[in-house]
Amino acid sequence: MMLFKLAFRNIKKSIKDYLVYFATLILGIAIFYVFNAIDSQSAMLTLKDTKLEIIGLLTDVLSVVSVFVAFVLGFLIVYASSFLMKHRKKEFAIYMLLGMSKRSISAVIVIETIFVGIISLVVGLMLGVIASQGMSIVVANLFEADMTRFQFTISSSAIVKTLLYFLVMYGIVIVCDVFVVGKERLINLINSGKRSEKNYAKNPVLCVIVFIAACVLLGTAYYSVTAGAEDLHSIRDLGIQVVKGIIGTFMAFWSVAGMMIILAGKNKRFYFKGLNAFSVKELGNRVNSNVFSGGIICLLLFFTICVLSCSMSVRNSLNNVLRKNAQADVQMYSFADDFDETSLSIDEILENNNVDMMKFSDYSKLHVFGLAGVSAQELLKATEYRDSYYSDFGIIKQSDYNELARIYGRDEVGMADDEYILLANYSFAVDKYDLALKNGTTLDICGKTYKPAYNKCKRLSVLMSAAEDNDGILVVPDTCDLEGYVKTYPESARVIDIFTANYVDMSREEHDAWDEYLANLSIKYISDDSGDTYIAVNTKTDIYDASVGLAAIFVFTGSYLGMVFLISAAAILALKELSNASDNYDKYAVLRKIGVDEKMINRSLLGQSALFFGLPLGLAVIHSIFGIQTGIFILSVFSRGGLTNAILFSAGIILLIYLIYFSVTYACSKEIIKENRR
Amino acid sequence: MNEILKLEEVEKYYGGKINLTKALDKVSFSVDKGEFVGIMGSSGSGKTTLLNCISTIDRVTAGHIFMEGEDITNIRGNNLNKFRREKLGFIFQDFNLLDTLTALENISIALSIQGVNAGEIEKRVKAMAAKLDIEDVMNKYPYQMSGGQKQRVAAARALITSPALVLADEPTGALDSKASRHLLESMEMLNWDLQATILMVTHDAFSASYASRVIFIKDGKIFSEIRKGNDSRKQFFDKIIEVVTMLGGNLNDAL
Repeated sequence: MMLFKLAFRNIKKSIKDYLVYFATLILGIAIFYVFNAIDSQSAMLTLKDTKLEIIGLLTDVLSVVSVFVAFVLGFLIVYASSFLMKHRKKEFAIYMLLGMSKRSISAVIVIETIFVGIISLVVGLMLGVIASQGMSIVVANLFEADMTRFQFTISSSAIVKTLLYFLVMYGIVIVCDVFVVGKERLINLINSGKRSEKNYAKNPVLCVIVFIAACVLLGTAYYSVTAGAEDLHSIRDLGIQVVKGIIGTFMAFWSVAGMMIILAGKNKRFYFKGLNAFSVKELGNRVNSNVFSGGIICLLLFFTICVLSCSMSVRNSLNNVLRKNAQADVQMYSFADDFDETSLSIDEILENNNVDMMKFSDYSKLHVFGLAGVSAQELLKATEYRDSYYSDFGIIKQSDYNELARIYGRDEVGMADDEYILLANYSFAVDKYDLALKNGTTLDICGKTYKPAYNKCKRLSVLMSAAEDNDGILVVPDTCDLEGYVKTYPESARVIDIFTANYVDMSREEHDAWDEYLANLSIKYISDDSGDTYIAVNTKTDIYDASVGLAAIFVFTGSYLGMVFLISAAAILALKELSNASDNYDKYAVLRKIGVDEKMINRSLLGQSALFFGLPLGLAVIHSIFGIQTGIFILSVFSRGGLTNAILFSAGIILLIYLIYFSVTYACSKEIIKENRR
Repeated sequence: MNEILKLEEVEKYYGGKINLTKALDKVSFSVDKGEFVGIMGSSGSGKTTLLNCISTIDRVTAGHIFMEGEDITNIRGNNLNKFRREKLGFIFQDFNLLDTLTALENISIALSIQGVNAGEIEKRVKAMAAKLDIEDVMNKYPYQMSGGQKQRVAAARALITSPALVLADEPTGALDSKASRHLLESMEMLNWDLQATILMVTHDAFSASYASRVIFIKDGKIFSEIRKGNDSRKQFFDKIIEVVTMLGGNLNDAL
């Protein structure tokens, strides 16, 4: 019973030191619950089957990510608790001097941890349950679910899972802490209060050299992943730049404090003003003693910013893409694998299956021709990209395209008799095509030479798609004898039939039924074993669902990982800052004795904390400016829309959480260095 | 009148009604400008409490302390810091240098918090370093210095602002005898050269013998007071020992 009392009092007494630890545990638990409870959101219950499949996939992805997250959080919690233990060695020494056995001390630790665990789990789960209702709204928004049937839900499976994972983590914490106390000898515990006067001042010349080297490393890495990205051919090339970035980051952290001290020392008017010399040196010492963790935190923050921005950006751009590329209700097309295969005509399929054409308010049938030799390679032959892009162009007639444009609700196109228009929106390809079009590159089609009507390709596609993946369709004048050419040279040409339609006004149920009926046609022809030709059916609904699902997976996984990394980074910084404040209590006492004002002391502390928190974030932001571009480059299939908004949004979230940690830390350390606390 | 410090019936009580401790019991004395006063007493005699009250770190229960005519027991809040920074200099037993700063920076901080400009700081620190023979450690960190050097740097920090009063709390407590002598000689020199007024608390008779006057405290009251006058340091030391013997010889490790 005495041990219980002791444990309870310890927590109550050191609540200030534990505040950051507590907050991190609670946040971690809440986040863990929210993301594991997504599948049981009430908004999900009203979704239809195809969406449920996607949510199944999302749940699978998130549960895999959860294991990783559990490792990160577990590491963080063990680190944080061992950090707190280090600062309580003196207390344990007193217990031991009073004759308490190590077994009893261990018991105190176990009781404390259980106590902390129970409180954090209860509060964390409550917070999580509340937050997940908010998440419901986000989910409903993403999936366009019916929010009228909203109800308060609690996912028991997520609670069980959270409890399980965190109980294991707390178990590990107990084992670690008990082990630490158990192996410690009394003399070391007693002496732990005496800090050796460590000084991390570094050779200034070396600092300058290392700092310049770090700048060079980072600079070249930045250049390579952005302006020089054309030369990155493989993951390995990119990997080298990433490694350069990582090494550069650590080198920067190794040398930045030295540089700062040199620069500050040069400006004597600044340096010998108030507590500036003290602040600069204290901060320098702290940065120098935390080179490794500073670097790690910077990289974590960098990762967080990139993941959050990129995932948000993918979502935004997907929405834009959908609006531009899925403009009709349904589209069917048949295609063959090779030139020597003849694909089925859409007419035949529609007729054979007695499709009721009255159900379509509007439809178009068109042929896309593929001719050997009319390709990207041909277009780019005079440019430096000659051998970098291979793709056959599809060719359609102007009138066919204009009919399709009507159904899509787009503007019609027009051109002279000897001109062509290139439609493309695949971002890898468009820049290269534009170069060739600007040069006025002519193309030989069906024995006639055509020149470009515009000096840029039109950022459009013909097929409906969830992504901007059209790498080239030519629109040619109706006078071009494509049919004749195909008849003459059947072996070097192929034809794809495309049928695009909008439904007449119908109920949601009938609409879904039609979607399903038409989609089944493609399955029918695959199972029919009709050679190497295929029927593809895309409905607007399917494209939207698939892409929303994709967006959801990106956004949820991204924000899940991002949040966890963010709180890890912020918590480590906060703990370091707090322990630093208690180590430096004596220094501030000296400053007070020699007559430094409270205001001056607080300002110095604020400056130190702000820079200690700000340095990793600052470097991470610089990294991100380049990293995000690379991320978007890799994800360029999704186009670059909405990046600014995405960055602003994620920057807002990051700053908010970071600022909360910073303010709590500053307030607590101000309290710690206050007079008469000891 | 040249009175820098004047204590009038200063009392300091600790504890409540039941277990009242009189740490200081109606202590009155004054210190003139340019004096080097030693305060001796055993542990628990109240000498540290006295020092804390004079330095405004602690508050008196009753009585008044005047500093250059101003009653410092009435100063409150930020003015206390201002008072300490402008009128007082501190030398502590365990040096209390800031370990991340070099000797130069440690000394200059006393000036920079007063808003003295950088050029002036450099000049004054240089002059003070020369006086205290610490020029060669100016760019060293405390961990690179010997105890004696550290204490002389601390002394430089205390005196650089030309304070009205320097308070030294067992300044030789953590030093060996050679370093102690060196420091005390420096303090004696500063007392002469700069007319610095020094109030030194010690329980070491040897240290006290460098002062021009020694006040003995026992159980919170002034027990006696002797002046050096025209005696040599050795003679003065013998006088101090006499008083210590009279006190009961239990000025623990008085020698």
